[in-house]
Amino acid sequence: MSGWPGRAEEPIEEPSLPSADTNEQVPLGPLDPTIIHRARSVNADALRIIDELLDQIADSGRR
Amino acid sequence: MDLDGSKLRGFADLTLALERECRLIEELRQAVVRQREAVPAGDVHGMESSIRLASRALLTLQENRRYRSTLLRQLVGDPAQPLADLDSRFEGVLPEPFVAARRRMQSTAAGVAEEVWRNQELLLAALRERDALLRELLTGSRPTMPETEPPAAATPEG
Repeated sequence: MSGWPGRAEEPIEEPSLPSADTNEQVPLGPLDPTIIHRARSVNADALRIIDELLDQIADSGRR
Repeated sequence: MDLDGSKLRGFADLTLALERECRLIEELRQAVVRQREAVPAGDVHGMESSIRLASRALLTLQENRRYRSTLLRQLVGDPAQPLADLDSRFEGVLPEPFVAARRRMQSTAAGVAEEVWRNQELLLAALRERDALLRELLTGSRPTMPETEPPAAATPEG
């Protein structure tokens, strides 16, 4: 018999795999951080460009 | 400065440029809305599509801005002339289509800036949530949240 003495008497319980009907999901989602960072970078550009545009529309007294 | 025929033509061109910019900002808004739907759904294609749409709108906005500067230089000699101050450069009332386009672009741009800002917050929250979940998987426990200020109602004054 392999393993340590008493191995057969005290079997270690194996963790069960999630079955299809439990509807469990890995909670990380498919969105890679890279794509989130890219979106944030484009959004930052958008904010900068809109800010410049609003500055150009604004009267000089508000600048 | 008098609003003669050539100046009126200049204002017509400037109005068209502002209307084009306004449409581009609306395109940006559509990209932002698509992005907001894609984040909670984990929709990679939606994210890619929104990034592409936003990038294209921004690129064209910058081209249009250079064109607007050229028009302003032709109109008043200053490519950086603030649009709100144009009224003081001319005698008489500016053409109504220009005034309306200027007003519309300002309100559209301000509205879209708020939408973009909301998305930035949403994306940051998604990154933090992902970090927390990864840490939970690796260590078995979630990181403790930083203590937040109690709501104003919970701290009576006086």
